[in-house]
Amino acid sequence: MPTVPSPSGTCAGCGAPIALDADRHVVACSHCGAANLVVGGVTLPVARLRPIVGDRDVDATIRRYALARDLASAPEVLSVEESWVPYWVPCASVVGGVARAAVEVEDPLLGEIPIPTGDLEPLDAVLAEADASWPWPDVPPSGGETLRYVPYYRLRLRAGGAETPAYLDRTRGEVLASAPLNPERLRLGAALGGLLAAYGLVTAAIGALAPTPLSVVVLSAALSAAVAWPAARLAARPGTSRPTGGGRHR
Amino acid sequence: MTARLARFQCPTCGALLRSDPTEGAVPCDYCGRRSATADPLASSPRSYIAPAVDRSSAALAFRRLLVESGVLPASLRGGIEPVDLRPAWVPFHVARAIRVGVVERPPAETIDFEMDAAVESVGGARSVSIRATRRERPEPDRAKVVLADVECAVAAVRRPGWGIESLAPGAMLSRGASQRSHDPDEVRRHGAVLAADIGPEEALRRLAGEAGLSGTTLVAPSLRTVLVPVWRLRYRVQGCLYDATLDAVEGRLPAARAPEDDRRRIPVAVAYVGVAALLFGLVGRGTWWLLATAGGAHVWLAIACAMLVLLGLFGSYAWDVVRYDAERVLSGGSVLSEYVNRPRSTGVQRLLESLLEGLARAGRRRVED
Repeated sequence: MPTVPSPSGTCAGCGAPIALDADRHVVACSHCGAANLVVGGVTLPVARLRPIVGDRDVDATIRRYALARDLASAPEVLSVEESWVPYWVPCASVVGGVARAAVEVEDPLLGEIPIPTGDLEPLDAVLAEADASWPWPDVPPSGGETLRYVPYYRLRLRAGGAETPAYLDRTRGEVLASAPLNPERLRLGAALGGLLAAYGLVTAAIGALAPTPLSVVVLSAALSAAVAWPAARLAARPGTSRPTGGGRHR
Repeated sequence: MTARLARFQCPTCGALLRSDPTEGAVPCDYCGRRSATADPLASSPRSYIAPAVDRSSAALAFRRLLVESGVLPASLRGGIEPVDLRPAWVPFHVARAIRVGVVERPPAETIDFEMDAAVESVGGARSVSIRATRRERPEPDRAKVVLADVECAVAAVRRPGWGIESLAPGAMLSRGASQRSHDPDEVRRHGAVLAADIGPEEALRRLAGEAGLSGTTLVAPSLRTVLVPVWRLRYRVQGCLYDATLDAVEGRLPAARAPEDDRRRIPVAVAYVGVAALLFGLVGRGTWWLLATAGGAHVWLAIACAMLVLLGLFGSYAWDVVRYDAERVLSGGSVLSEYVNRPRSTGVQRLLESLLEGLARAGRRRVED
């Protein structure tokens, strides 16, 4: 009967030999304590970022996001789901590099991110949860890359009656919305409403009292032209490059 | 993100196996035995269509196509500020099969002749009888013939507003795009692959539906996954964010959103208010004339109702224009204008609807009386 060779490999961090456990995809190096991801008998360094945003902080984070983007009312959070996304992170010598998702993603926003930084989870926590809920990387690494798992909350937001997916980076508290959430551009204020009401009354009076059809047309056209410009000024926000004030969002 | 960590162990030696979704079976690095993945549908072979539009070309094409397609008002073309340009792969399930049909050949016809004719011959007249009858072969011929190769591509992802429905990998290939077998490094170089949320069974189902000729069947169905590259752009106009999708193979713009030009919308609202008010005034003048001459109460009621309806209608239009932001949406090759966050029926519309309903009820009651 042929003997089956015992699986073994070397630590990606220190090069010491480590025994591979057939039940685990992530094994610890007994020499340096690094976590190693085992892919086809090859060991890769793996790390997991510690989340600083918990599920109790989601609403407050969304409110801050709405405030920063000038949305008067914060989107309603319909559902919150924990999600880990592995990224291949280039070696430390690469300056200004980006981390690429090692799995298929739901939105290109998650596909490429700045190199994730933050506190790393202790090895025990990594080993305890590594195989339970982590997505397996299905994109191969390039040379010298390490695998880093970034925690997200996958959210469903309702903004102004429409639902949109979004992602909350739990290491930075940043919200990535799949569909742009915009403040409102137009505003119906008392001044505009009063102007349009007055314009309507005067036009109705022209229609009822003007002596001839020609005078009706001329007077109403002249009045419309005179009202259109101030109405546009009242409706549009001043300084459209940086809108202020609150409203609705999609 | 679905957790797709599968405990992959070699059934012979217990060693860990690679998880490669592009392969139907993976070899064990220790004992060499090949193990099939659990789900054959999930491991359909992959290929990708090579992108022909790089990042800088995409950035230029977006700006040009947003204006050419008419989705961005010409007055706002100077105000585009690109925010983010990201590549992505859109997976398509491509089902292929051979359509086989049973063709019946019509029965052959044989003809017998029967006729009488007089033939002059040496030694006197002879009579020749020829009979003609029409007989049909009772059994038709049946032949099983291959009719055609049929193929159907279904997007494996649902992304409303991305224009994915107008991407067709088969049409791209027929127009000269190059298809390559899956190369993870090349795919990764372009961008992230979108996670599939539609199973490949949908492609087989649609293939069966499209190729459903009577008397034909599909044989040897096969599935593969084709990745189609796109660019997703976010850009800022008038302080708000909008997005668009660019087909990275042919440089088309399947979907985009852009704001309406507010400077043109407000005069439209003013015009609506003016028309409503003018009609109101003119109808009021007509009412006065009717009452002064020979009008009765029922005529006055009808005219008053018409006034209210017209006022409500144009007032509703004016309200929508002034109250709700509008966007231009490019979808399916046509540009539509839609209000953002406008409820299904506004307050003015509800008032108008209740008024019309009341009028109809009054009319019915009058008829019943």
